[in-house]
Amino acid sequence: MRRRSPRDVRALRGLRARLIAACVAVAVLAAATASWASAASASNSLLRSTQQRIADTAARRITDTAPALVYPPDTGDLRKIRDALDGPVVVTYESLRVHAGETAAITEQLRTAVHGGDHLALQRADSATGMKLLVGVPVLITGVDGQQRPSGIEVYLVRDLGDVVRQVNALTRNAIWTSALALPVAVLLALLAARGVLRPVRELRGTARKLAAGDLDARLRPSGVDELAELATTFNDTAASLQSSISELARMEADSRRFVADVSHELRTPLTTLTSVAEMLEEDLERMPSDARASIELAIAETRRLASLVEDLMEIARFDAGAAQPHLERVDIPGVVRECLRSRSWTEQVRLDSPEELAAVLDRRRLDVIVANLVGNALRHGEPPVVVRLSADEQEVHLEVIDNGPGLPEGVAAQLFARFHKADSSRGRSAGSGLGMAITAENVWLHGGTIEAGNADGAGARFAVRLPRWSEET
Amino acid sequence: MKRTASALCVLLVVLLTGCTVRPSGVFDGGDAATGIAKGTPVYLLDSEGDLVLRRPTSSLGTIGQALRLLFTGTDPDAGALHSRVHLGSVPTALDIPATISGDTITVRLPIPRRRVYGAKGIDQIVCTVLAVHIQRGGSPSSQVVLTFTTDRPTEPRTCPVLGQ
Repeated sequence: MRRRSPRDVRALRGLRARLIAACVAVAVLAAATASWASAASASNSLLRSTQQRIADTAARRITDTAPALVYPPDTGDLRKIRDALDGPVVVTYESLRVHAGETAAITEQLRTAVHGGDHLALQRADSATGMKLLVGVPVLITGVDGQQRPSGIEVYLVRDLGDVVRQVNALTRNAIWTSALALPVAVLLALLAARGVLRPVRELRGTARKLAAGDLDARLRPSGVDELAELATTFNDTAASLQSSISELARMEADSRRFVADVSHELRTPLTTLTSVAEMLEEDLERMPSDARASIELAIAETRRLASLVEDLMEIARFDAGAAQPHLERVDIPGVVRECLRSRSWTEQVRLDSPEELAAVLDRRRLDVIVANLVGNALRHGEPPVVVRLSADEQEVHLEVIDNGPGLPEGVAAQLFARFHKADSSRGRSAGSGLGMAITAENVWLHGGTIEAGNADGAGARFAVRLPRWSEET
Repeated sequence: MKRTASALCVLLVVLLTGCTVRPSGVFDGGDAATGIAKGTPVYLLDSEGDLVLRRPTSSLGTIGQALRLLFTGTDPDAGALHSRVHLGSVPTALDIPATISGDTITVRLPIPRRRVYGAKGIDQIVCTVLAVHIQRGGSPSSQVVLTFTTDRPTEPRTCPVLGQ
């Protein structure tokens, strides 16, 4: 047997399948109920009328025969009653008894009901030869005043109900066939109904997908005045409201990004001047009085930090503006990493664990930024020795940076790549700009890669970067 | 979904097996038979002119047979009882037809009106007819219309001693 695919399961549990199943169930149940009701009604009527006809016929024949009988009767009189009736019959009067045919089916229950009774008693009983109707007839003496009393004469008849059973079974079969014939019709009608109801739902799904994909102009065409048309109108209103909100947000975001970019750009020129002045001052530090030296050193450090912050802000602004494009080329990754560590004098504190050669197509400068930021972060917030581990498969390059510090506090990893995130909230001002990890993440994402932060077993914090190995060269 | 389908199947089976003939307990089948009696009722008159019920035979019989007994007076134990209905020369083998329509019994008497003396004679016939009719399972509220070979039929009548 073929296993059901998830799609098959979805189709079976879908709205269409449920709608069709519900319609078919209701229709078949309605047809079955109607068929049963009519069959049961007809069967009951047939059975009742047959039973009554048998009972009335027996009572009438006995009543027609009785006036010719002597009372108290002898066996000859009882025979006259017996002979007036067809089929199996027993006639009793006190100890006298005459009978004809097979009367074993007559029950004690029936005899008890007839004995001393003033009404006919009927009972259906199963026998070896099929369903029988047992009829018990007490014969009453009616006085000239109309008062009746039992005469002691009792007549029992056994009548076959085979014909009625056959007719009832035929009615039942007809009911079953009617119910069965309702099934294909119900399926057809349910399919048509489902099609009519679900078409607008499918349109709704398609339009919702377009909206999700970014086509904010996508709208439904409401038709009619039913609930589905109302739903379409509401959906359109929601989409319009969403479009308006998103457009407003996008405008505000663009404005704020432009503001950041403009501010950063405007700050560059005075900062260049300040940096030049700071460098000049730095050269003359030795000749300055010692009380002024500390202040000047602080001013120089802050000027450099401000310049770095502005550079980072401009980098972030370029990412936000979509202006950042990776310059892809074939690079030897271990070579790039070694150069990054060497140029920043980190070779003593960092151990590189990598194959001798590992080629990939990446943006060399951005890879340098990624490695520098991660290693710098590890040295600043963790403890040396820091391990940089490189590996690759056919599709991806794996870069891990593991420090030997206390590791990341719980809950920090999720916000680590947010802008201006500070791992230590008590340090409002740190050597970093608070944008380094955000820029790192942006550079990874620009390559189509992923970055994760966590803790390594038996070590400190662990940052894992995956980059596509063979991006198309530009 | 599966539970619903199972419930529907059970319901269908229950519905469709509901249409079968099953054995039953004892139930009522209507009025019992009647029509048996210790003799044919015939009403005669005593010396006071009151109606007296006699049963000259051993079985109930028909209205016609009861009237023939009344007309022919074949009651050996009648004693002082007498009848105010005289048959005259009508043959005794003749059947006297009685037709029942609803609650009215019409008896076609093969005699002229003058053979029945007075209201007492009419009461004898009406009571005899009604007694047989009631004992044969007829309605006690029935009325009798008598027709004659001559003269008009009687109005629908009841029997004064049968207490309606």
